[in-house]
This record gives sequence, structure tokens and C-alpha cells, in this order.
Amino acid sequence: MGIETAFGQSWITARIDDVVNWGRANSPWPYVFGTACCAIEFMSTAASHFDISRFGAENIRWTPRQADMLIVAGTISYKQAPVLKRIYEQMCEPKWVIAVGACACSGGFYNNYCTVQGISEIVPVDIFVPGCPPRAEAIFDAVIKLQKKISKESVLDRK
Amino acid sequence: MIENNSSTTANTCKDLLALQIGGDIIALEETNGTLFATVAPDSLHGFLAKIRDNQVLKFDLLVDIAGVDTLLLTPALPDRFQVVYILLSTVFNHRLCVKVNLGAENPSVPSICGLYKIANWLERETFDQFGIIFAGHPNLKRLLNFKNFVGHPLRKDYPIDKRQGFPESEDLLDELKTKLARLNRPIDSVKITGCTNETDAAMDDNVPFIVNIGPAHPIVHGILRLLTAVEGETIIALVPEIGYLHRGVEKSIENSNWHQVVPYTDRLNYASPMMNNIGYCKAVEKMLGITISERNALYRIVFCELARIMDHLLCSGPHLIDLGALTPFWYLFQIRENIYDIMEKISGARLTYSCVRIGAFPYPFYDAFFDDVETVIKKLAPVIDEVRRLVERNRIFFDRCVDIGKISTADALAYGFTGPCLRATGYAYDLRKAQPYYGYDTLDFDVVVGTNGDTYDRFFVRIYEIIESAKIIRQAIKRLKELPPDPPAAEGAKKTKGFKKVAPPTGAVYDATEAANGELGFYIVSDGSAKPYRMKVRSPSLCNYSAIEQLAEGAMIADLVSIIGSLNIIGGEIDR
Repeated sequence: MGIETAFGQSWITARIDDVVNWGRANSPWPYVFGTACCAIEFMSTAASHFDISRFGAENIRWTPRQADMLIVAGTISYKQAPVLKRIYEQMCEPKWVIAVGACACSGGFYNNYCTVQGISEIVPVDIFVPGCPPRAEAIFDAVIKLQKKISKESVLDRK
Repeated sequence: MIENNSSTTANTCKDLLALQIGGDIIALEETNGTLFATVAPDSLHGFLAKIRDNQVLKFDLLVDIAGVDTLLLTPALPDRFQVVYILLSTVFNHRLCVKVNLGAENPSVPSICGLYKIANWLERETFDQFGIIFAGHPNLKRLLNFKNFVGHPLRKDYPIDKRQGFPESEDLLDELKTKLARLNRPIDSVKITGCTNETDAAMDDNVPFIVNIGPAHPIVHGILRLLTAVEGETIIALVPEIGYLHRGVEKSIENSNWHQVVPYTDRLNYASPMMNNIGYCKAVEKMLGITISERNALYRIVFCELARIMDHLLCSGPHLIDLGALTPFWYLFQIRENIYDIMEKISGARLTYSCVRIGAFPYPFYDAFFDDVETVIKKLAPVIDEVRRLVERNRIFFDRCVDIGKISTADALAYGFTGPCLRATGYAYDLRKAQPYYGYDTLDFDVVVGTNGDTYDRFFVRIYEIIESAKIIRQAIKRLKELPPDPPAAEGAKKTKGFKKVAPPTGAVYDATEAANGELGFYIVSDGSAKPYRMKVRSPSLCNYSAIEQLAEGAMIADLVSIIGSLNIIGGEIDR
């Protein structure tokens, strides 16, 4: 008893942006670049208690080539930075980045010789999630914010 | 009051040392219950060999190597660098720190890789951080920092915020080349995949080829890199690289005051944060000469064991996911979630609590705490039972785990294994029993041991330890309930608001607790100021992982997944 029974064999007109964005926003496939504590909290987010699949983002990919939402969860050191950049470059357009946790956003309290002071030095970030580590709800909030952002995009933006 | 009984063992050890091997020792002193023997760099190797093989000393475990730069100490010492070898005898349960003093110009000390296998990585780390040369080391390269890093960050004259930009990637081929040469397989005969189109040809010809795994591969948890040469699916040579999560904890700690260190310890082993807090506070308390009240000690036992349960759940669940079994993870993680709820009520945080203070807990806990813990413990048994039934006699789990990544007790000790990984080899060594603290010796629990030292045993040692931990928690709670309430504070007693200033007296201390992965130790040097002068974290993960070459060479690539999963590699702890 889906929408098809109500409409029968009829037509729906819509803007191409709306249709594409509807699809993109409601099924972001995440690639979790989890390095540290925040990755443990992401496990919680994905596990049954919180369940990220409520927001369509449960299809966690283990290769960047199949993902469109890069979740950077954890501290990025200078040694790790080129790896992160390469992962980002391997992802296909359209792609979005969520920086999870204080370390990914700003280096956190690791203000020292080996920690990158925020991943925005390396890759463009769409959503910053504060917290050390952020709660599962905060990660949901980021996903919802990203969905709103995606639904405002135009297909012409990424020609 | 809970007494620390390490001083008695140290005394006998002191006498024995003087009696057996007096000649090499320049100075033998005991500070804060830690026994220090100073030896000359030239006689170090011989001295360590003697005390390792001596029948009444038997220092069979090299716990850690800590470098110290004494540049800023007052009064200034004649020699700038110290290298401290922390040793443990698992047979006689005594500890010894062997100190070597080195001058500022070309500090060099003979390598002890031949005596203890773990020394290989520990010496590389000390070289990396301090620039101390270990003469005769087979592969003295940086361990944590990248190849083209200039300078040595833990030297006192290296500014904490001096960043060096982005590294060149290291191909690790030089190390692999030496390894293959030892197997009579010159590197020219090995195909390098990824950059040529010869992959298929390589497969057909049964020629070894090189596969790079990590650091972004899911089985290595985002932080490890392995370069392997494989023949078919069998790994014939393997070179590990770590340091991808090196976040300069030890340098940051030197720039924080004693209380501010607690949050850093949270993020060492982030699977069981509370245990690190307690381990650190215990070491500082030892330095200050504080004995904590029985109530606090029992509370700490409850938190330690809750943390151990959390850690083992987190190790076992993803290990099974890596092997393709998703279901047990959901069951196991639900319990973790329940423990999170309790910890959140206590501290407000779900994962990084920082709610242990030096000497005590910062606030009384909520009323229903005991009931909540008991509810979780009750839920635990059926879950563990269910998971056990899913995997214990599971054909696939058998094939993936039994006899995979096998290690003998002797090798495990040489690699510095402690905790579940050591116990899986059949050696019942547990600090909670061997050097009891907080009154663990008065509680009734068993040390879980394996027989084979393979992945299967490591997995089940953890699973059964969860049950033992639950037993400990029940007893500790029962005792806590029976304790008479604390007497009200005396009239006119000063109540400290916020943090009390802590400044341990000048000196050094090594103290260890049995954390979820093994012996978590803190070697702390204080100069009497408000900040730790130097703190070396003895991380069990680093030692456990250092055996990866031995464990995985000869195994298949799929076995590597199983081996890494069973070692429980926690990035924050291994790289610090």
C-alpha cells in the first residue's frame, strides 16, 4: 500500500533538483574515517540503541569510492593527513564531509607538534560537530543538518 | 586502609641485587617504593643479561624503556639524558628500574634487542623522541613520528607547538627487502602491484607480490599500516608501521598540571577510559604517599571492572565483525550502552569521564548507583551465554581462529605481552593477583588462562574475564553496602573548593595496574613543581602489537584480520 496505489498510473511533475536532492539527502552513504575515541562513539551511533539507519545513513562503506559522506571521527596527525586527503580525493562527486569531535574540528586539546589543528586545513568541511567525543545525538544532528544542506543544493552547482 | 606491599618485595630484591651482581651497579636506591639501579652504559648489556638469567632474580619481562631529558632539572645533573629500563620478574614479582646516564653529545647506549624482543620497538621510540642512539640496533628508524621529521620532540628544547608540515610517505620497501633477502627472495623477484598492470600475471606465475594494507583499511582500525609480501594468499614477509595516531600526549602532559593530566589519560585507551584515570591517579598517589580510604578503593575496583567489561566487549564485538559475524556485536554493544548510561549519570559524559581525582572521587555518587550496576551485571550473563553459544562451537569461527596467530609463553614474555594475551598462552600472570592493590587479594575471583596462545584462546580469555569481573563487582558492592558511613567532617575542618594544589616531591616513580589489555604503567618524574616533568606511559597495546611480525608471517591474509582483532589494538594507547 504505497504511494503507487493512491496515484495509479499517473504523472508527477517536479523540479529535477528536488528529485535528485531528495534521493541524495535521504541516503547518504558514509565512509567512516575513524581513528580515535570518536570512532567508538560512532559505533554507538550505528549500533542498535541509537541506530543511524533512521536517517538513511546506515550503509557504511569500507571504500571511499562507494561513499558520498566522509565522516572524520578522531584525531588527525600530520602523519595521517596525506592519507585523509587521498581518501577524500578518491570519493566521487557529490561528496560531503562531517568533522566529528574537537580533534577533527580544531585539534582539540592536542595543541602540539604532531596534531593537525582542524581537518579544514586539509579537506573542505561541511558540518563541524563539537564534543569530545560528541554524543550519538550530536552526530544525528550533523546528519540532519547535512540533509538540509543537500536539499538546498542545485544539480547545476557541481557541473 | 589499603597498603601497597611492593616495598617489601623491593627490599629483598635490593639485597639480592647487591649480593648477586654488586659489581656493575654504580648506585642502588629506593624512592617512592621503586627500586633504581644505576649502571654505566658500557656494562648495561652484561648487567641486564645477568639479571635476566639469574635464578633468584629472573627479570623476564622488559616492561618499558623511558627516556628522560634532564635539561631543565634544578640542580642541573652532570649528564643530560637518562634511559630507564623498567623490568619485572613475573616469577618472583619484583620490579627494578635500571638507569643509564648519558651525556648531551652523541648519547649512545648498547642495544638490548638480543635480550628482549620488545626492546626493538621501545628503543626505536626512545630514539625517535630523544635522539638517543642504540648501538647495534638492527633497524634504528623513527617509530611514531614520520621519516622526514627534524629533531626529537620530547627533548626539553623542542617547543611543543613547533609543527613541521606534512610528511613524505614512507614506502617501507627497504625493510621488506632485508626481510625477503633473509628468505633468499631478492626483491627483484617480487612484483609490486598497484602501479603496474601485471597483477594478473603475478597471480598466474605464483610469483610473490607486495600488498599494502592500511592505514585506512577497515581491519587495521584506521591507524596501522602493514606492508606484506604474499605468495598466493600466504604472507611470507610483513613490515608494520605505526604512529598514525601519534598525538603527542607525553609532550602535552609535560605542559599540563597534575590534575589536567587526567583527561589525557582518558584518551589513551578510549575503550576503557576510567581504568586509565585510576592507573594514573594511583601512580601519583604513590608519589605523594597517599593511601586512599577503603570506600574509595572499593569504588575504584567497581569502576575498574566495569571498564574491563566495556573493553572486552568492545574488543570481542568488532573482532567478530571482522570475521563476518555481525549479530554478536549488537548483543555485546547493548551492554556497553547500559554501562554508558550509568557512567553518564555519574560524570555527564558517555565515554571520557575524567571523574577520578588524585586521592579520591570528586563527588558522591547518586543513590541508585548500586542498583543500576547490579541490573547491568544481571543482564550480562545471558548475553555472554548467547554470544558463546553462537561462536564457541561454530565451524567458521573455529577455522578462522584455532591455531591462528599462535605464540608460546616464552615468546610472549620476550615481546612484553601482558594481560589477556599473555594469559591466553597458559601463563597465569595477573597483577591483580600477583601484586594486589586496592584489596583485590581479598576478593574471590579466578585468573582465566588459555592453553594454546592462539586467537581462539585470546578471544575466550576475554569473554570469561567478563564473567570474572562481574563476580568482583558483586563482591565489591556487597562490601561497600556494609561499610559504615563516613564520619562527618570535624568542626572547623577546612573544605577545599575546586582542585587542591598537587606537587609531588622531586623524584621518580613507576606504578602499574592491570588494565584491560595488560599492564598499564606510568613512569613519572617530578621536579617538585605543579607540572609533571616527564611522564612515560607504558602501553600494553604497543607491546602486544610488536609481535605482529612473528604472529602473522606464514599465515594467510585473512588470518591477519583475525590476529589483529584478537590483539585488541587501541590506537590512542599504541601511538599515544
